[in-house]
Formats: sequence, C-alpha cells, structure tokens
Amino acid sequence: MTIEVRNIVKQYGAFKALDNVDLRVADGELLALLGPSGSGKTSLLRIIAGLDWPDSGEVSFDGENALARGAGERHVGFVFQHYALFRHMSVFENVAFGLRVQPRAVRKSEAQIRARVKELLDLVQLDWLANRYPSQLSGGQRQRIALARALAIEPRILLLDEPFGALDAKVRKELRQWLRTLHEEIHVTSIFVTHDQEEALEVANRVVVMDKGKIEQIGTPGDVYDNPATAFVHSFIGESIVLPVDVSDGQVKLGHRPLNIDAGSASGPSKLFVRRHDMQIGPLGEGALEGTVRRVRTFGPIQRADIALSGDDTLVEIDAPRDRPLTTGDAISLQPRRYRIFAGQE
Amino acid sequence: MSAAPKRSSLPGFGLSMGLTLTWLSLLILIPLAGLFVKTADLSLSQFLDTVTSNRTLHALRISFGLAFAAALVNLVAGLIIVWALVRYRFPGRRLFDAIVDIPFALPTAVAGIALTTLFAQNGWLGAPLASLGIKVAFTPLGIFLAMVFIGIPFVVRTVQPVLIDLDVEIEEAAACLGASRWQTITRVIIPSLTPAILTGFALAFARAVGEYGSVIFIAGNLPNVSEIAPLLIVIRLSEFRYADATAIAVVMLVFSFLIIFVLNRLQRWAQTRALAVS
Repeated sequence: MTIEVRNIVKQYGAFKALDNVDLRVADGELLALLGPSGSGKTSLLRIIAGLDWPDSGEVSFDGENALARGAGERHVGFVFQHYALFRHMSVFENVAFGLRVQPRAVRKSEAQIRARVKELLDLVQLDWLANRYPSQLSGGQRQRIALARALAIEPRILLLDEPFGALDAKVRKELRQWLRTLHEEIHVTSIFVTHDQEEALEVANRVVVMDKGKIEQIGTPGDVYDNPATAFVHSFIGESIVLPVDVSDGQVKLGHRPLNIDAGSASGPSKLFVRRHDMQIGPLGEGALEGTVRRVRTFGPIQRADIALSGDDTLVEIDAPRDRPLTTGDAISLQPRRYRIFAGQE
Repeated sequence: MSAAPKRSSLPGFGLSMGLTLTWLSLLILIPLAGLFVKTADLSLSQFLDTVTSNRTLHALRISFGLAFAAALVNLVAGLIIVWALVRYRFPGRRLFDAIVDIPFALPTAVAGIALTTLFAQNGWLGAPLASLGIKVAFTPLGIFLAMVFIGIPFVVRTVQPVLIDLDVEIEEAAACLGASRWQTITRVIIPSLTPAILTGFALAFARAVGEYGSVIFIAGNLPNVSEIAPLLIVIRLSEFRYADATAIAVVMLVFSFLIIFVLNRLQRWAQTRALAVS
C-alpha cells in the first residue's frame, strides 16, 4: 500500500503543527518520522491514521482518498506509546478484539478467531501469556501485545507512535531489532514516529526529519547523517561542532581568523558544522583552527577532548582515535576533514 | 526463643490500628450492638411477629425495592451526566458540575418539601402529570423520586474521577480496530468503569434505603401503601415500643449489610479482573 500526503496543514490555535507537508511512502517501506517534540510528527501520523483531520490537504492510500473514511474504515494498525491495551481483557481478548467487533456478515467463526490470535501471539513470541492481563506484563511485553492486536485486523498500513518511548534502554534496543525483523517477515507498509535518532537510523529504510511542522529532509539513514540538507538536520542528527563564521568573497572567517576552507555557496553570517570525529588533530600550524587541550576522557576506542580554541576560548568537544594520545595543556591544531557551511546564524 | 522486635518501613501500625478500632467501636460497633441487645428484649416469636407483620413487611419492601430501583435509575442517569461533564466542554459545565452536589448539601427536609410542592397535584409538575392520570406526591412514585434525587451525586462522584483517568487512547485504539462507537462504549468503556459503577450504585442504594428526611414529606406515609421502614421505626419509637423499633432496625441492618457485602464482592471481583492480581 502506498501512502501519499499532499499539502497537509494542521493548526491548533496559533500553533502551526503541520505546515504544507508533502510525503510519499512506497509499498512495503519502513519509514521513520524523526524530529524533536512539537515538530508535528505525531500530528502527521494521527492524520494518516484517521484519528485527526487536517485543516487542508489530501491523504490517499493507493490513490484512493483516505480522508473520506474514518479510522475504523482505513484498515490501519496503530500502536500507541503507552500501549493503550484494554486492561479489563486478557491478552487473548485484547488481540481478538479487532476480530470480534467486525460486522456479523464478515466476522470469522470462533475457531478461526482462536487460530488467528494464536498465530499472532506466536508471531510476537508471547503465546504463553494468552490468559494474563495487561497489568501483569512488562512494558516490552505490553508493546508486543499491542502490536499483535494491531496486526489482527490485517492492516494495510502499520503506524507506530513512539512505540518504544516508554521502555528502558535495553528493552528498547531488543525491540528495535525485533521490529526490523518482523517488518521483513510481514512486509506491511509501516511508519513509526520517534525523537530518538539512533532508533530512526537503525530501524528505518528511509528517514523523514521534521522540525516546526515542516519536513527538513527525506533520505536513507546514511543520507541524512552524511549529507544533511539543512543546519537543523546537521545539528539534530549526530553530534556536531557548530561555530559561527562569516563568509565574504569566498573566504571563511572565524572571528578575525581566516580559515583556509572552501565556503561552498554560503555567504554572509553562517554556521560551520563539523562532526566531532571529523576533526583532524595535528601539530600547531598545520590546521585551520588552533587550541589548547583542556580535558581528556577515553571511551573504549576513542578519546574525547575539550579543546579551547585560541582567540575567544570557545570550547569544542572532539572525538579522536587513541593512537595519538592527548594530554591536558597540549597546544594543537585542528583541521576539519569533512564539514558543511550553512548560511544564517539564528 | 525471644522474638526480635520487628522493624517496618511503615511504623505506627499499633497506634493507627488502635485508634481505628476505638473509633469504629465507639461510633459504629457499640451503638449497633445496643440495637441487638435491645431487640433481645423480645422473645423469638414476638420478634417474628413484629418483623413479619404485614405493615412491617410492606414498609421493608417499599424501602428496599424502591431504593434498588432508584439506584438503578441513578446508575444510568449518573453515567450519562458523568459522560457529558467529563467528555465535553460546554458553557456552564462547571456550574452543572457543582449542581450535582446539591443533594449532598441540601437539608433533606428542604429537598422533601421542594419535591412535594413541585409534584403535588396543584404543583408545577404535579398538575400536568395529574391531568395525565399520574399521581406522584403521596404515592410510592413520590418516594422513588425523592430517592433518585438524593442518590444521584453518589454515582456521579464515584465514576467521574475514573472516567477522567480513562485514557482517550483506549477509545482511539478501539476505533482503529474497527469498533463502532457503540461497541467501544459497551465493550471497552463501561467494563473499565465497572468497579466504580458498582461502588456508586452501592452508595446510592444504601443512602436511599436509609433516607428519611426527604421521603416522609412526599410519601404521604399511608400504612401499607407509602410507608417506608425508617418511618415505621420512628412511629414505633413514638409509641414507646422500643424493642419493636429495634427489631425492624435489625432486619434493615442485616439486609443492608448483606446487599452491600455482595456489591462489595462484585466490585472487588471487577477490580481484580481489571488489575488481575492473581
């Protein structure tokens, strides 16, 4: 099932949650909507699900207008951050719910329902919990049951709203892997919302980065990390060193110090972005920037150092391999291996 | 073997348990025991005669039957009121919310007189009803009405906080799974509210069984027609037939206790099903 979203606008009072959003999702894709809170990612997901309606714009599934249908008629599986399981029903009944509420004409027989629920509980590897109640399960188990429940109606699209947001780090990591595998198995077009970049980059085929109701970039995980399209994407995804620079006549200046690097298309007040591990350390005089090592810590294969840049003492944090040990007080030069300059300084 | 003093992270059990028992004994258990002691003045046959006399049985039937019916009506009406108050935003919502508490605060006699005036045959509502052939004041219907009036806040106030806490996401989940609005209400919302509904029902019922002040004004108090058991007790007292009065009270007490006990078990059952502490 392909999903097409065109010119969606959604406003809550003076707050523009979605500002002219366009998005195409291909059949069988596993797409992440990534952004900080308030970026509009959940609003977009809820509009696709039919839990909210846009002020204007179109949503279509396989070319067919979805806005004409309510949530119940869109055949969309929705997984909530806080599970939203029916607490008065056993796990079995939770999963069976979507099958039991079908109109009598198309409803499966009791035996078929039982078989289907069994199959789904096997799929999420929790068949041994069928008779428990949601309050007896751990967070990770609840979310897997919520997923089984959403899959029971054989949804054409699976939507997950911060599915792992309420879980602890370890379970989160397991479930991420598991969702990835599950998607490969069932191959239903899926969109999940997250504010966790690692989750988005690790799980999704494509990542949509959103900010302030707009899509900043759409690309593969590698793309958005290596070639961020905007200053926002560069600072939101991965750790970056950000320095305010001034570009005039193709020359980049940090304060009064000219940096011997290519300005690209930027001009005027701009920002220089460098990944922490993309700073090459060398002896004084061999790099665009100079500074003094203030503090060093080591994390496994890397050492992380706070460097006070000469001039205004701006502190930057860099990651370097441990083959060239740094000590506090060293005077060094820094040369960005890869960097981006984006115009504007706000 | 000397037992080491037990340490607890919640000290004060002895003190709080002692205060609880003293307080409950002074206020509830000792007066109730007095009831049984006084009733024991009667021989068994006298006791049976008193409580199985037509007048007593009728009064008990009126009190318990109408209280049950009133609690049922309050259950349905209360749920609708709670739903409107919690789920919708409309002008005057806070005012309506406050109005619900009036039967709690109003002196019951005032309520009784107001209802009687309203539903008497020449009252604002009584007159049109009378022209339809429906008599409210001075009939069991009037008693029922007064019991509905005093019971409504119990259902509303017990169910309201639970409905507020009920996540809207649960309804959204049901909708996404294809449930109609009606299916969502009957299969998801109402079952989630069941423990609170049962509590509200039990409270409204208990209050209606014991209600005296508002009922006696509108009841007309005709023996074997519209006489409630609490009134019969007062009548016996005024005739200095104290043991007879306590005998009726004992029967009411035992009945009420049994009914509330059953409701309590039901509520516990619904709750454990929801929380499933097996």
